[in-house]
Amino acid sequence: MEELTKTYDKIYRYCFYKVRNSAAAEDITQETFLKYFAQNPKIKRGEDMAYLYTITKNLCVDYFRKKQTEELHENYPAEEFSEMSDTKIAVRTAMEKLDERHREIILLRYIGGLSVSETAETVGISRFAEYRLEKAALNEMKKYLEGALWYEI
Amino acid sequence: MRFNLKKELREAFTPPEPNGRDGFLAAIPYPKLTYREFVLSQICYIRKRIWFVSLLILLAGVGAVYIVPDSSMVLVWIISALIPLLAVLTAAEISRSDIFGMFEIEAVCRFALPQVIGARMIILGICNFAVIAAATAVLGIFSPLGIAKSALYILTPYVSVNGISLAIFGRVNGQDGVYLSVAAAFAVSLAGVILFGKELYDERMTNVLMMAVCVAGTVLMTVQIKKLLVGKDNYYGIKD
Repeated sequence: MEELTKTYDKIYRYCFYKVRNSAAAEDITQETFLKYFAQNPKIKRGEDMAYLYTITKNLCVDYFRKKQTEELHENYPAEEFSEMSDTKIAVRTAMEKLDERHREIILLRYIGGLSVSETAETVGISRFAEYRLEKAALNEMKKYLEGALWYEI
Repeated sequence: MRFNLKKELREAFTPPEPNGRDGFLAAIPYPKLTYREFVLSQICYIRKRIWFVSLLILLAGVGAVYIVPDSSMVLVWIISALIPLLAVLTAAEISRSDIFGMFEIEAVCRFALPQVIGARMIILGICNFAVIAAATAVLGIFSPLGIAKSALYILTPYVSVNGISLAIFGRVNGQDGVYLSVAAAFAVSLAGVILFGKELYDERMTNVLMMAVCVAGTVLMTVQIKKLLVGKDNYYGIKD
C-alpha cells in the first residue's frame, strides 16, 4: 500500500504540473489508476511506471480537449505565492522557457521521479536519446538560472 | 551559494496535498494477486472435459501397451488418433469468448481478456506438454519408432489440429466453429491412420511429410495465438 501511495503522489504531482488544478489533477490520477487496474491483474511493482504515465498523459490531453473553451485557473496554495522564494520562481520560469520535449523529460525525470529507461519508454525514445536530451535540458535551465540567480553548480 | 537544481526542481513544483488519496486507495479494487496466483486462479475456470480427455489419453496410452501386441504400430495409431481431440478441446477452451460471443462482456471484467487467455494458455500448455511427453515416452519405449519419431508423430497432429482449430474459431463463431474444428480433427486423425496403416509412402517420405506438416502446423498455431492475443490487445487500446 505504501508503494501505491508513493506512485499515487508521483502521478498526482505530474498531473498537477500539467493541469495546474488540484481537483482536476486528483481526478485524472484516480482515473489513471482505475484504467490501469482495469487492464492489469496486479501492479507490477516499479515496472509499469511508463505505462501509468502514458495513461496519465493521454488523460491530460483529453482533459484539455474537454476544457478547451473554459478558462483554466492555477490553484497553487495562496500562501505559497506570497512565500515563494526567488529560487522557486526562477526554477518555474526556467522550466516554462524550455521547449516542450525538454520540459516533458525534466518533468518525468525530476518531478515525476521516473528512471532514465522509464522516461525513455514513456516519451518513446531510446535511453541514449533520453540521456542526451536530459543533459541538454538541464544545461539550458542552468544557463537561464545563472542569469536569474546568483549561484554556482 | 550552492545550488542543487534537481532538488530545487522537486521543491518548486510541490503540489497541494491530495485530499482524496487515502480514501481512494482504501476503496480501489486493488488486485493484490501475484501473477502466479492469478494464473493458478484460472485453473478452476477451465472446463472439466479438458482434464478428462487428458486423463483418457494417458490411460489409453498405458492401456494400449497391455492390449496391443508388443512393438506394434497400432499403438502409434491409437495415440496419434486421440491427440487431435486434445488439440481441438484446447483450442476451443482458449477461444471460448469468440465461440460464445462473450467478448464485449469479458471486456468489462476485472481482468483483461488477453491476460485471461494468456494465463489459460500457460495452464493448458503445461497440461498438454505433460500428456504429450508421457505419450512420447510410452511410444518411445513400447513402439519401434524411438523417442524422436514418436515425438514427431504425436506433435504433428497436435500442432496442426490446434492451428487449424484456432484459425476456424477466429473466423466462425458459435457451434458451427466447433463442428468444423471437430471435423478437422477427425480428418487429421483419419489421415494419420491411413498414412500409418496403408503405408502409402516409404518411411523416409512419411517422416519428411510429417516434418513439413509439423512445421506448417507450428507456424499456423503461432500466428493464430499471436492474433488471438495481439488482436484483443489492440481492441483494448493497450498497444496504442
